Amino acid sequence: MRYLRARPQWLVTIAAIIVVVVTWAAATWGGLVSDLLLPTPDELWSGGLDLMLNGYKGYSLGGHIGLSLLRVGLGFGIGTILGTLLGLLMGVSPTIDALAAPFIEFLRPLPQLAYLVLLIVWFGIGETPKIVLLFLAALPVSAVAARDGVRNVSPARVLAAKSLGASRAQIFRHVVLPSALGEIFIGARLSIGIVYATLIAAEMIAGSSGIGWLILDAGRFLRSDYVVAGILLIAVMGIALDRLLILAQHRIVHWAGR
Amino acid sequence: MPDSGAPLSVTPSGVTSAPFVEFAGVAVTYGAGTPQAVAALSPTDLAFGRGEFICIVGPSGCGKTTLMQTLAGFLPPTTGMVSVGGQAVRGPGPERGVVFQQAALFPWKTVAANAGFGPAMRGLPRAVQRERVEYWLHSVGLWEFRDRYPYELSGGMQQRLAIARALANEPEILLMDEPFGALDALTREKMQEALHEVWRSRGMTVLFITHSVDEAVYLGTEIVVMSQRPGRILARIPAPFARQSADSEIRHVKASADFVALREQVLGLIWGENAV
Repeated sequence: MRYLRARPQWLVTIAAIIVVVVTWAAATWGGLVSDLLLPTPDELWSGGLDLMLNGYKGYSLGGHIGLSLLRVGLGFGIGTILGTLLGLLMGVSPTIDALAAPFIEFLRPLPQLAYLVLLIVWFGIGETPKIVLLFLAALPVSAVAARDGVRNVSPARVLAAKSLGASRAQIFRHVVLPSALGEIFIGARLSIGIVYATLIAAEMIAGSSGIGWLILDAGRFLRSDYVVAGILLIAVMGIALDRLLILAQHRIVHWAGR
Repeated sequence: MPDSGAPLSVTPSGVTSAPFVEFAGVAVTYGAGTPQAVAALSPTDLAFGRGEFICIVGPSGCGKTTLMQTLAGFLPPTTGMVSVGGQAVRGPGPERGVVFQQAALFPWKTVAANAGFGPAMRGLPRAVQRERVEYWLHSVGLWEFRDRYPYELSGGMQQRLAIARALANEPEILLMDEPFGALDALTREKMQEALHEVWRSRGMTVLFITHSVDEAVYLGTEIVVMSQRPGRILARIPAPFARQSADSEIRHVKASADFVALREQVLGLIWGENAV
C-alpha cells in the first residue's frame, strides 16, 4: 500500500546498495573470499584507475568503449531501421507478411550463439560477423513490433481519416505510422537489450577490442579487478542506452499512454 | 429574433425539400451466406431532404449504427442502395462528415492540426485551411487550446474537437453516432445547445443516433424510432422544437408541456415495442 509507506522509496534503495557494498567489503577484506574470485574495494579502485589511465592491451579504455558502442550502434541501427521498414510493409501487405513471417518467426526465438559459428565461416573474423550478428539480433524484434503496431491501429481513426477525405498514402503517413510509433519504440527498447546482451558473444569472435572482449580476456588471466570494473562499466552503459531510448520515446511518442 | 441567421436550406415553416438522402431497401446481414449469418437491419426505406435533422432512437443493437455506417460508406449494404443527391454511396467521402461516440482524434496532432485535418488532406489553399480552423475552433470554444494535444483536453472538449474536425471539412451531411453518450449530463446539454446552434446557422443535413429520447426530441426535425434486431423503422415522428426560436433556453424547451408530451409519445413507442 503506497499511501501507508512510512519512508521514501529511495531510502530503501540506498540502504540495499549499502548493505551489498558493506557485505562485499567485509567478505573480501576479511579474507572470506579470495581476491582471485572477487577484488577488494581498493583493488577494484586501483584496477579501474589503471584501466582508465593505461587502457587495456593496445586500446585505451575509451577506445574499447567506443568500439563496443560503434558495433552496438551499427548493428542496432541498421537492424532496427530495416526491421521497422520490413515490419511496416508486413503490416500493410498480407502478401509481404506471408513472405517474410516464416523467416522472422524462425530467427526471433533463435539464440544468437546458435548461428555465430556460421557467421564466422561466412564473414571471417573481422568486424563484419560481429555487426551482422547484432543486426540479426535486432531485425526480427523490430519487424514484429512494427507489424503489430500497424495492425493495432484504431479502425475508428482510419475511418475518421477516410471520411475526412484522406487518401491511402495520407492515411499511412498521418494515421498508421504515428499510431505504430509507440510499439516501434517498445520494440526498439527490447531490441537494444538483446543487441547489448549479444555484444559479448560478438566480441568473443577472435577479437582484441571492445568492453566485452576486455572482460573475457581479463577473466582468462584471473584479473578479477578488471573483470568487475568492466562489468560495472558495461552495466552503466546499458542503463544509459536504455535511458536514452526512453528519453527519445517520451519526446517523440509524447501521447503514448495518455 | 426568430431565424435571423438561418440559411436558405432551412425553411422556417418546417416544409422539407426534395429527398436528398435516400435509403432504398437497405438491409445488412453480417456474415451473409454463412451459418452464423446475423441479420442486423431489415430492408429499410428512409428518405429525407436537405437541412433536416434526423434523430434515430431505438434499443441497443437495433441496427441504428449499421444504418448510419451504410450512409457513411463504411459498410456496403447486403441488399439495397444508399444515395446522396441521387449519387450512390460507394465509400467514405468528405461530403459526409462523421462524429463517433469516442472522439477518435489523432493524439499525435495538435488541436489545430486535428481540426484542420480534412482541409489539409484535401489540399485546400493554406489560407482557407487556417481560416476554417480558426472559425471552427472559435465556434466550439477551443481556440485557446489550439497548440495543445487532445490528451490535454477533457472528454467534453475532445468531443467538441471531433465535431469541429468534422465541420471544418464543411460536409453536406453530418453523421453522428451517439456523440454525447460518454459525457456527463451538464456537458451533454451544453453540447446539445451548441450543436443546435451550429445546425441552425449552417443548415447542414444531420443524421444523429442517440439513446436519449430527450436529446432526440430537442434536436431533431424528425425522430425515427427503430425496433429491436433485426432493426426496422417503427415510426417517423416530426418534431417542432428544433426549428423554434433560437433564444429559448434549453431547459425551458425541455420543460414545456408540448415537449414532455412528444417525449412520452416516443418513449411509449419504444417501450411498447420492447414489451412484445
